[in-house]
Formats: sequence, structure tokens, C-alpha cells
Amino acid sequence: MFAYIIRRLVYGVVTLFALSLVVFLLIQFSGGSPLDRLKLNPRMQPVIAQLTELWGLDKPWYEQYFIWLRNFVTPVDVPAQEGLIVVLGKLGIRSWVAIAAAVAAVGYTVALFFVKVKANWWRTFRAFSIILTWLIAFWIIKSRIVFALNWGISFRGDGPVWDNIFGAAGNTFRLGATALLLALIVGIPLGIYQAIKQYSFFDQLGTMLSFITFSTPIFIIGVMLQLILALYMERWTGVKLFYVVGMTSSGYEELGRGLFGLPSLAQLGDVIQHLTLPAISIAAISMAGYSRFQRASMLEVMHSDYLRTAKAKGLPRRTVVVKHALRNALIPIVTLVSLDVAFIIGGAIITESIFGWPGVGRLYIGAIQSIDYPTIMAVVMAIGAGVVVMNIVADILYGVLDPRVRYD
Amino acid sequence: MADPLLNVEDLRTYFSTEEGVVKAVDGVSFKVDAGERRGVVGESGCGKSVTAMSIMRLIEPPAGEIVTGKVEFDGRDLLKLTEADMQQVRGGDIAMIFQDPMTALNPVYTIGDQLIETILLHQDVSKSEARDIAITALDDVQIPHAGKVMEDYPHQFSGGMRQRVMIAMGLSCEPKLLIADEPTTALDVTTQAQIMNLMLELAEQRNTAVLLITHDLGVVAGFCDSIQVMYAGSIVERGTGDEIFHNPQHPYTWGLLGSMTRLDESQQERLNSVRGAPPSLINPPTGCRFGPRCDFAQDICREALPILHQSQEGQKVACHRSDELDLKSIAIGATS
Amino acid sequence: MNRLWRSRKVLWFAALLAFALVAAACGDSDDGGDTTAAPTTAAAEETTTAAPETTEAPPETTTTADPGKQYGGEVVVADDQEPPTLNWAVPGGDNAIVNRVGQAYWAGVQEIDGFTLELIPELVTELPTVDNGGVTVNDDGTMTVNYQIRDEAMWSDGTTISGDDFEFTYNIIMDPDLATNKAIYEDITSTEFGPKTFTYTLAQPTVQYDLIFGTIIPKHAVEGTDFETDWNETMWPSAGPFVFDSWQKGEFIKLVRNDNYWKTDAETGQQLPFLDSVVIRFIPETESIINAFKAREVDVVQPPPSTELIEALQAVEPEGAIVEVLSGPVWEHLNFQFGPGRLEKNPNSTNENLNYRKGVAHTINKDLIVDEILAGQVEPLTSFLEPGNPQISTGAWSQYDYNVETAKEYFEAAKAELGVDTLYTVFSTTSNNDARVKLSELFVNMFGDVGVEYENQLEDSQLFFGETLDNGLWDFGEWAWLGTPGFSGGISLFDLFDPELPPPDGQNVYRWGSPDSIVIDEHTARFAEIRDELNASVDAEILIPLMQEGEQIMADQVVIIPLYARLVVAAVWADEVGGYKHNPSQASDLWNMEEWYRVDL
Repeated sequence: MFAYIIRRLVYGVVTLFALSLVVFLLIQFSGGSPLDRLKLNPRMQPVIAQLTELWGLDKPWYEQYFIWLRNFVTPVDVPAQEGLIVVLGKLGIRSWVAIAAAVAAVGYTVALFFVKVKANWWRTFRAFSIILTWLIAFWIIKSRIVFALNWGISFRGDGPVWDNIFGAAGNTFRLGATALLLALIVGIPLGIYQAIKQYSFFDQLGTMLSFITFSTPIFIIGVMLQLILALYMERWTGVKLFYVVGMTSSGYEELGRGLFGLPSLAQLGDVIQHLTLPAISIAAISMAGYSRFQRASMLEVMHSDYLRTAKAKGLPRRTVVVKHALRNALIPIVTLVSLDVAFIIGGAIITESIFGWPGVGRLYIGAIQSIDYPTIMAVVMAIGAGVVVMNIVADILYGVLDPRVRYD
Repeated sequence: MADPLLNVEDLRTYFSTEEGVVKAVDGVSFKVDAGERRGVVGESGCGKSVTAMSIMRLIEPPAGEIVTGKVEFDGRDLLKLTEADMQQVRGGDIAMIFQDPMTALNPVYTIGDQLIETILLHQDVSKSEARDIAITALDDVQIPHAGKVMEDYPHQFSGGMRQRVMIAMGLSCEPKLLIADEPTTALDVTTQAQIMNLMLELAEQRNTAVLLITHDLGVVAGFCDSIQVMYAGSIVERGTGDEIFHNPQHPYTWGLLGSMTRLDESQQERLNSVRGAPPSLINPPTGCRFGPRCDFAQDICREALPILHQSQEGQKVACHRSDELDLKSIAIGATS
Repeated sequence: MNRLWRSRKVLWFAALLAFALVAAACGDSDDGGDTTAAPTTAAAEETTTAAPETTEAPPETTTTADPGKQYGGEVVVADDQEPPTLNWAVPGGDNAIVNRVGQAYWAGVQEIDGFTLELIPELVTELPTVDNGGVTVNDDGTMTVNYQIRDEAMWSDGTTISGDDFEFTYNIIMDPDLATNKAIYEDITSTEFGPKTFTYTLAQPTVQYDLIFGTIIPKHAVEGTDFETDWNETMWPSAGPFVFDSWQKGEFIKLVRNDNYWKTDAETGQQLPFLDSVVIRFIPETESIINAFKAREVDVVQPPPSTELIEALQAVEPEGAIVEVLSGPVWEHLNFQFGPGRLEKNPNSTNENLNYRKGVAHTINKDLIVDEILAGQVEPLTSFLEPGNPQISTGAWSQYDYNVETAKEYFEAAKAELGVDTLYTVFSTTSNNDARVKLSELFVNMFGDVGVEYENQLEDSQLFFGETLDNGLWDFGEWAWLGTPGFSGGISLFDLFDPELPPPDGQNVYRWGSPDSIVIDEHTARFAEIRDELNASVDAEILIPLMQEGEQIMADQVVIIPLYARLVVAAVWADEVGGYKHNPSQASDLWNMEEWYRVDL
């Protein structure tokens, strides 16, 4: 298993390398220069010359590429006093939290792999909990330790790309994770229910709605949600339920913090009022997809021989469905969901623009408009890395859920 | 004579399809005594599996429905039981094993899980006791290292071993009736023999009645006390093994015997089969359903549906001409 | 079994809750990545309110002339762009949105009056001219400019604005390590900065001085910091009505009241500003800007204009909104390529023939274009001085009316002169601008009517504004320039057509009269002279006739054909915000945000 993961990671790195080269070439040869904007001002000639040299735009493309590549994997020098060790002694809690998170995540993972538990639900829970633990640990570590790679300075003038991406990634994660959760919580039970009640009115209705949603562009879904759930809803009811744009109100900080610096209830409410519509518009298509897929997968399982065996054994229908059908019917969707991460990020790029959400998608669109290739490259690579990792996660999860799958 | 263990009377199970109503089982009646081994023989689609599924009430509405009939088991009409009571019967009083052992076990749970689950469902025992029972059941079906394989998944077993697991699962709750639906069809010939011998042995030990459903007369030959032959949703002949094999009264049975592979006959001899294809169960032919395929059919056969009656030879048969025909004297399978 | 089931449920709920909390909290991580707060400046809380300076302020005619102006409240402004940096002197700082937000906290020598579109003094008592003695042309041919800084002008931290700040700003701009725009500043030969005055001498007389020192940097706060990196996400003390408060990257910039603002309201004498805070929210999608406006999540919008959008905004006027559509500073023009690159697109180009060009000028139906593209909201342009200097413009292009017969006569004359049977025109512009695509479609019919072989060759804007413009690779082209007010703005237009300044040194991408041009005649020579004279004088009496003569040559020779100025649209909830006045200049509608007040308080 470990050898398999390592091998997949190596392939992943090679894929990312190829991806970087292709994207870099595309940017290079698609015409235009980040300095074009300045060229129409007659007085900018000296500035253009200066920036051309500073950004190395006069060098041949391969040289630019290798400079970029070298920098991309080089950590930025962190001043000594901000370094980990000194900070540990000086500040205590912040860094200790990071260390504790890392140790806990490693410890939990190792412990789970060595503890032999037979219960089946535990195997499932274990897989999800490891991923969850690492996500949480990563975010804690990221917010507590000063570490950055030299991803360059944005050509738009908005500073170090690393900081921009990680500043925005949290917001995209908030949106994407909510959307994914929403799509799973609604889509999968919907599909299961449809399969159990095959050909019922509810099933037909669900199928029709799924197809409508699936074939609606995400932009239209977003704008419709703004109009119906934010604009008209407020006009009809006089209550502001959801916001058309933004991630927080401008008075967010004044709403007061809760315990331990966590958001207060009022702040959580504000977040939900802003988060709901963009999350739904990303989730809608996935939701429709999941429900269709889950329905098909469930139907297949419902007609399988082993389900007949389960019934013939005298198991109650509930146990038959929940224990024997569901577990099998969920296996194929794991892959779908893992690969859907790329789709969700794609949806986020459009949705973030519509809802004024300060995430990676907006960063990316802004970067493309100004041919800011350090940012374009970094976003593409970050998403690429995410997809590679999610692919591996999908494989691992698949192995955990389906005992027939073994990796050597 | 004691009451039979299973008494099926005028069972009719219909399926509604887009083309029309399929009368898969159309008026089947039979009895099985405790400890009896009954074979049900017929071509694919003759209704033998549906009969078994109907007894277990595994026919799923709205597609399929038991229209009329009575399935008395141990004095209770199964068709009138509540779903909860029926669940106790399934796996507890009547166990069932299926044709394809490769797909009949849930791939994501261990053998142990699936065995223990059944035992906990039907017996008032603790989890560890259930585990012991399961191991014993695996031992009984001659699976080596029973304790260890409890943790294995179905895909780690061969087909024969899986069918042994199915048998162990079926017999673990000491049912009074075991319905085996083509239990050996998917297995190779040597494994078939082993499995059949195992079932014979275990059923005898426990005095379990067995309803063996198969299209293969060879399988029932050495196994069953009695045999009933089904054709197009109804029983056409029923009798002891001897009667059926050596003195078939129904032309269909006679044809089936002709299509049987017999290792003791010369290889040169042509293998016969019943000509034609089974009739549509939506619009069955008038008169005798076997009529269109029957070499001995006469006008009466096309006009009246024969009923199952006692023949002069002892067994029951549903053929207008059974008394006039002497099928035994005609070379088996040879056409007149 | 039961207990197991329950405990599993608990575990799942715990995991979900943890997940939800992390999702909600991770955007708020206190690593300083998202939020940038203003550095806490040394508290100098003496509010030395200055004496009212009523003579300088523009007359008060606002959207709602309600005299009861209350203090307090917040106004939310929407913009589709977000500043890449807040520092105007680093790369990215030249973006229009940086300047728009800067209206809140920047000040300099001059600002644009939103009513007259003229330059008016801001931090100085008056704008220097030859007449008021502020500008002196010396005997050695140099020019000295004197400024008097307002006594009451001070930074938001209470520090007085002095000549030191102007000197500091000058030094920053001239720092060779910074990629700043050093034009005009580099012609300064000597400077002198006093406590409340400053003076500099330029190598030759020019009106371009009215563009410099537009934004001053406070020496006391910025000196000793890393100028390039420290001021991208936060702002130095304010000289404007508001102080930078915080920037939620990707969301909004929050500005709060500058209690030390030196300006007072012209009518009431109240200290400005009225509002407690202004939030500028960044919404990339126009559709969402409109929806947010309708939902009153934003009070003021100035979205990219389109016909549908104007209609959508006007639909909510009955509910209390006011929509203003104006001609903006960006003007579109048709033009001919006179360099060899024209043959790349059109081997049969006849751009050198004046009759052909005049024929084209009569072929174009500007009224139809304005109707189709701008829904007839404004009149077409007949002058290229109009967008920046309406008071000077003479409408030199009004001689060319839309007339198919006249056009045909000119084309016949051109054919005769050139000895050809057919005239060919190949039109190039950007393909990713809807209005231009529509224009190219309209041209097909217009040129068809006059019997010219016409072809569209549209290009992606990146290619068009890059290689194509640099190398003059078009035959008949169309794009836009930005007009700037003031004499300097008008004169800078002449650089664009200066025969002596073709690329790469200059901006004459048209190559009209340049050494490789197909048209070099007495008109190009005279135009070059005019351009030089314009850059050697500061006297309005001389400048205005010269500019008008130059424009007449451009029109008579049909070097370009001005088409229309792009619209600028703004909408405000007038039942919420008072004192608002839309402004088509780069200062945008935020130019007088100190005078905004909440009507509904």
C-alpha cells in the first residue's frame, strides 16, 4: 500500500511538471505581455523597460521557465526571529498548537493503521477521519507557522503570490467544502430514496429536476439564486435572509467574537447568510450528478444476488438497505466525489465572480486578465496538486471501502 | 399420514411487464414431507425458481405478485403472515441457497459477519456464541481452518468454497426446509458432486427437507426421493425418482431424459433435445401447453388443458394421452 | 447493537460539527493574510478645525438638495475591479480603481471639479498660472512654478501638511530603483521646499506641470519604511475625508471618517465629511452588481455600461434610485495606418489617398452607430478635444456628414487618381469587445452601400494592443483613448500623432508623417510644428488657437475619425445617499464623497 502511494505520488509529480510546462508555454505563446496595459501610455516607456528587466521578460522562454521552476520549489527565507524554534520559546501557544496538531495528525494516522478493529463501520470512519484530521491539521499548521515557497511576485502588483493564494484558498475551501457537503447530504440520500422508490412520483420528479439542474449553466443558477432567494425573497417577506454578494458584512468584526476567538453566533449567522447562495449554486450541479449516479448505483445493488441472499436470510428490509445495499452502492460514488473536487474548484471560479467571494477563482480570473503568470501558474499548480492528491485519496478510499481492491 | 411440512396449493404468481402479464407460476400444487428430498426439474423460465421465491415471499411488488394460492408451512399459511413473522421464517425455518455462489455473498463483509448476522437474527444467543455456531457450521461443510476464514472476504474463496459457505449459512439455523436453487450449476463437475454429496449428508443428518431446483436431471438422479417436472408455469409430472427416470409418462419428461448427458452411453449417440422453444407465458397456447412441441399431440391436446392426474403407472401426470402412449418402449428421445 | 448504532451517530455528528467549524473559521485565520489594518499612528487627537474656506468650494447642487445634513452612517459603493495594491507609486498602482479608492484619502495640488470638469486647487491656495504670477517664464527659457500650501491642510494624524511632504514625494518619484512614471518630474532642474510653499523650475515652458504632484505622500509616516512593500495593503495617514480602516482582500475596503479633515461644507460650515464610514465592495460580475444594488446591499454603483444594464437600473428609479448616464473620458476613433504595415492586412490599401479617406468619413453613419451601440444615449463625437477639453473643441469633423452620394463621389475621384477599379478596406479591431464587434457588423452594410470591397479582420485584444499596434499591422482600425482634462491633457493628444515620434520612441502608431510613412506633406510638417509650439508655451492665448488649428488639420486630412465617447453610468439610492454627483472623469463619482450624507438618518 505505501509503495503504491509513493509510486502514485511520483507519477503525480511528473504530471504536475508536465502540466507546468504546458501551461507556461500556453501563456508564453498565446500572445500579449503583462506590460501591454502600460504601453498605451506614452510616458510609461522607461517603466516598461525597468519592469521587463525586473520580471525577466527579455529572457528566452526556457530560461524564464527554469527560473520560475527553481523559485517555485524554493522556500522563502524566513527571518530568524520568526523561525520556528525561536518562536517556540518566545510565543508558546501559537506554535505549540501547530506542533500539537501535526503530532496529533501523525499519531492518529499511525495509531489507526496499527489498531486492529473488525467492525466494518470503523473501517469507513477511519478513512474519512484520517483525511479530516489532516485537513484540520494542515490549516492549523499553515496559520501558525511562517513558511512560504517563492512563488514570485504578482505582475498585477498585489504582492507575493504564495500569500495571495493561501489568503484566498481558505475562502475557496470554505465555499467548496460547504458545497461538497451540501451536494453529498442532499444528492446521495436523494438518489438512494429514488432508487428505493423506483418509478414513484417522487422518483420521476427527482429525475426531471436533476436533468434540469444538470443542464443549466452555473452562471444562470447563481444569478437565479440571487434574484429569487435574496432579492425577491426580501421584497416578499421583508426579511433579509441571504446576501447577493460578499463573504461577510462590512460590520462583521463589530458583531463580536465568541469564546476562544471562534466566531460568535451572530458572526456565524452572518457567514451563513453570505455562504448559502454561492454554496448552493456550486452544489446544485454536483447534487444532481450525485443523485443520478447514486440512484443508478443503488438500483444495481438492489437487484444483486447478494441482496436477495440477505433478504432470504430473513433480514429486515431496513437492514438489507442500510447495511447490505448502501455500503456497496456508496463505493463507486467515492471516486466520483474525489474527482469532483476539480469540478467544484472550476465551479468556484465562476461562482466566486458572481457572488463576490474572495477566493482563488477570483484571483485566477484577475490574473488571466492581466497575464499575471506567476499567479496563473501558482493557481494551476495548486489545483493540479489538489487533483493529484484527491485521485490518490480516491484510490485509498476505494481500497478501504471495497475489500476486493488491493494495491501492490 | 402426518401433515406435510410444506403444502403448496394452486399457487399463481404473475409478473406484469410492458408486453402483458407473465403467468410465471400458474396453478402449482404440491406437498413436501419433513425430511423429504424433492427435485423440481424444468427448462429455464418454466417457473421453478419463481415457485421457490414465492414460497419465500421474495417476489417484489409491483413487478411480481402472488395472485392466489396457499403456502402452508408447518400448519401456517406463509402468504398470510406479517412481514415481521415472515422474516423469522426466512433463514430460520426455510433457508435458501442460490445458483451463483460468486455473487450471492456480499463482497464487502467478511464470511464471519454474514454468518453471525444470520445466526443472531434467528437464535437467541450472544455474539460470541453466534461466532462459535458459525465456526461449527463452517466445520460441518468441511471448510478447513474455519476459525481463521471467518475474517476472510468472499473474493478470497473459490466458487465451491463459497457454495459451502452458503450451505453453512443456510443450515446454521437448523431450518426444516432448505430450498436449493440450482446450487451446482455454476460449478465444475467434480465440485458439483462434492457439493451434492455434502448437502445429502447434512440434510440426512439433520432430517432437513430439501427442495432442489435444477434444470439438470443428472443432479437430481442420485439425490431426490421424489421429482416433479415443471413446464410453462405448471407441474406436468410428479413421481418417485424411479418412476420418472425409468417410466416417464409425459412426453416432455421423456424429451428431457433424452437430452440428458449420460456418461454410460456411447459418445456416438446423438444428443437429443426437445424441439422448439418454450411457449410465451403471456399468451400460452390453447390446450396442452406442451402441445406445439409434442411429437404425439392430437386434436384433443390443442383443445383442452390436461390436468394433473394419477396415471396407471403410479405417478401423477398432466397429459391427455399418457395412458395410450407407451413412452418407455420408444427409444428415448427418438422421434416417431 | 443499539448502543453501537448510537455511538456511531454521535461520532459522525462530532466529525461534521468539527468540519463545519473549521470551514467557518479558516477564513478568519489570524495570520494577517486576509485582513490588513491600518498601522496605528501616533495619536495626535487635537482637532484643529480650520476656518471655512468658502471661496474655493464648488457651488452646492446635489442630487437631493436637502439642507438637513446629518453626521453618521455608512455608504457602500460597488466596483467591478479591486485594487492590486493601494500604493500608487508601485507597479499596479496606476490602475483606475487604485485612484478611485484613493479619492477617499489622497490629496495633492489639484483635483477635478465634478460639475465643470475643470482642475481646481486642492491642497494649495490656488493653481499657478502666468496671470496670477504663480508661473514665471525666465529669461534663460526655463519656467518656475510657485505653490502656496493651505494653512489648514493637515494629515489625519494631526500633522500639518508641509513642503517637506512635497519634497519627499518628489524624491520617491525620482528614485531610480522605483518603476514610477517620471515624466515631467525629470525635466525639473531645481526645487525649493519651504514649510508652506514649494517651488520648482522646469527646463522649458510647458503646461504639463498641471499634472504633477497630484498625490502627496506624508514624509513623517512613510520615511524609514520599505516603500515598495509596506504600503501595498495598508495606507499612510490620510489627507482626504476618510482614513483607510481595513481591507478584506477580495471583498471590500473599509474607510472611516477622518476627524482631522480640513475641509468644511460650503453651505453650512459643518466640518466634512458627514459619513462615519464608506465601504467599497468589489463585485466582478456586472449582473451581481445590479442585483446587489437592487437588494440595497450597495448604495452607489458605477458599473461598466451597456444598454441592458442601463435599462435594468432605470427600472428601479421609481423605488428611489437615480441613474445618470454621461459621456465618459474614453473616446473611440477610427483611423488609418500610414506605415508599411498596412499592406500586411490589405495589399490594396489606398490609405494615402485623401479622397479615399474623405469618402470613408462620409460612409460612416455615426448616428446609427450611437443608436445601435449606446442606445442613442449620447451624441456622436465631432472632435477629439471634446472628451477632455469641451471648452476648446470646435467640432472640426462636423464637415463630414453621412452621405452615400458624397462618399461615392470621393471614391470615384480616388479611383481616378489611383488608376484602380476597386477600393479595398480591411477593418481591424478587438474581437472581445461586444460594441466593436457590433461596429464591424454595421460597417459591412455601410461600406457595401458605397461599393467598397470591405472585410473584417478582428483580433483578440491581447494581440491587437500588443503586436498589431506596436508594428502598425492594420489597414483601417478602431480603438479608444482616454481623454484627460486640462491643457496638459489636450496637448498630450498631440503626442499621439506627432510625425517626429513614431514607435518605439513615441506613440504615433498611425505613422502619419513619420519617416516610413506614405504620407509626408506640408500638413504633417505643420502639425509637428504645432506640437512643438504647444510644448513650449504656457499661455492660454497661444495654446488654444494652436490646439484648434491642429485639430482642424487632423480633420481636414482625415487622419482619424472620432466616433463616440463611451458612456459612464452611475446609480445611487437617492433616498439613502445625499450629496452625490456623478463624474465622468477618472476621479469617478467618489470625487466629492466628503459631501455625501445619509438622507435616511
